[in-house]
Amino acid sequence: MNETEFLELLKKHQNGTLSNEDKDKLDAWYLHKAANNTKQLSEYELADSYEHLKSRLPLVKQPKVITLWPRVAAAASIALLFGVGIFYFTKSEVGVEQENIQVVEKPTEIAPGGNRGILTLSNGKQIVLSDISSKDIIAKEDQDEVTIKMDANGVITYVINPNADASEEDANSFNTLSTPTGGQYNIVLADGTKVFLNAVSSIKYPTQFNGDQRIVELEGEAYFEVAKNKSKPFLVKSANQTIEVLGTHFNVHAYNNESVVKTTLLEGSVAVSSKNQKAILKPGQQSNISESSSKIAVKEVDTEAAIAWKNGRFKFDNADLKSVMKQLERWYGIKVEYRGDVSDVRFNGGTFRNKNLSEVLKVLELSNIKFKVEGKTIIVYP
Amino acid sequence: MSVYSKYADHILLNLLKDDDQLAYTEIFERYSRLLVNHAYKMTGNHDEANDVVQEVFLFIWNKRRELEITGSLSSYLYKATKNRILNHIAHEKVVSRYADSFSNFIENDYVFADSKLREKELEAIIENEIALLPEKMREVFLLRKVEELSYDEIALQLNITDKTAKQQVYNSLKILRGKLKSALNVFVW
Repeated sequence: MNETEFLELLKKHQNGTLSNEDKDKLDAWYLHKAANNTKQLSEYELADSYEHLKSRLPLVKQPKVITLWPRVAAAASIALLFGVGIFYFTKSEVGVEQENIQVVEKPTEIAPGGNRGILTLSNGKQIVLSDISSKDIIAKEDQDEVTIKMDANGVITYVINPNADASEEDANSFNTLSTPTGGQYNIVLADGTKVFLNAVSSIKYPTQFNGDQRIVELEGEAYFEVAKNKSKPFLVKSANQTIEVLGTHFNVHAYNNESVVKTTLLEGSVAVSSKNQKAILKPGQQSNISESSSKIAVKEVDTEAAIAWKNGRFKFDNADLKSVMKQLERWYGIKVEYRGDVSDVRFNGGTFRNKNLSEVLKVLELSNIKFKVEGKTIIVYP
Repeated sequence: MSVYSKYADHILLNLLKDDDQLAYTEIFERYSRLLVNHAYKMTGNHDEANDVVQEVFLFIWNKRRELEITGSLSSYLYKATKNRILNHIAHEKVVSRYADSFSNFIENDYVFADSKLREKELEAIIENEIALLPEKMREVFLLRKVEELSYDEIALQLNITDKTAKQQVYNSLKILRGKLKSALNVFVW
């Protein structure tokens, strides 16, 4: 191939007028070059690129803590905004990717989450479980591997079709149900126990409960209605604690990025243990386990607030700002930044989880706090 | 987010279409370095490589709802990168720095082939480029491979039918996953 020919092909590529034969020739050249060229960036150069790109793309960033240096941080975030504004794009003129790239997204309403989950079968396969809007409808996902069903009470169950997961009959096979940001899902376990899984959470459970205990592992938040079985205790394991129950209703709040693990009991009795400590909860009580203390703190709480999420509501009972905002981050996929000292702000009241974010913020603003929405970042002012 | 690092590519893609920015971030974590390295290989220019990959990632975010991806996420990203690299080269007008490669690309080596074959060649190149990444950066992809392979598939490849043997494959896969995950945590976070 000579230069003229090569340039000709490139031009046609730009104009989208490559014939099949031209296209194949150009592709073949490209692959030939890719296969025969040994040029490579060093580890450090790659790390450089990674940091460079990271600052220029709409990625989710680790939340910044701004309380101490509000002005410097404000200046930094303005600089960042400018950075986002001055991208230069060469126009892409090929095929389906023709449209201009729009950098700044219009301020739109931030919609709430919904029923969304991801099921990981014991063979490692992952399946997206989506929402079912009307009752008693059976949806089949991914080549009929899973049948999802919503019963008359709105509880969603799924059945793994036998030929999809051959390991199903094995004694020790586990499934994992997890939820992304803005996702929530309910399941019924093999023993009839109902689990409501909140956003950004996951639960690992056996497909059959063999042995003399029923053990599940939880990361994040879930509400359990454990089916009674006195001879087979039900255990919920999270990072720092284990809960043992016989048959009862309770909520576990155990997010890795929050310092306190909260267990709230609505009915029956549970034993919470952590670091060789054990506490028995009575209905209406909540245990708090924090990394900083070796004791299990038990107090009376408004249980309605603890499980409001499962009933489609936000309810705040003297709740602190950061825990409220963490909930909103998980449900609306936003990031929150704080300007100034807001540590003593407390919230009471509530609203519904199916509302757009702006409406929820309006409710919160009644408690002497201001919000500013910049894309998907919410800035909180005292 | 740890949950996202466990999701297979097609799950991330599905979440991306639903505006999930964490899924987008995870795709970036997985593929940005690989694509930059590839773009550098093709253009020989670090800045240009960065620009190309930036365009690719901005594109998949801005067009996330309209993306139509039939094959794997990795080959889609490679093709998107390829299209932009070809555009960059076309813009240059002077292509002498590619002279070596196109004159080396002799007609007699070249056989008109169907797109399936090219797809396979591309997959082979992706595998090869993953293998050439610095060790720490490669682990992300090892995990991906392991996650995608079910123990049934492995058992099938090893021609194992016996249940105990199957269980052994399953157990070692579990151990491997655990190891990879801890290695991954050190690397990414």
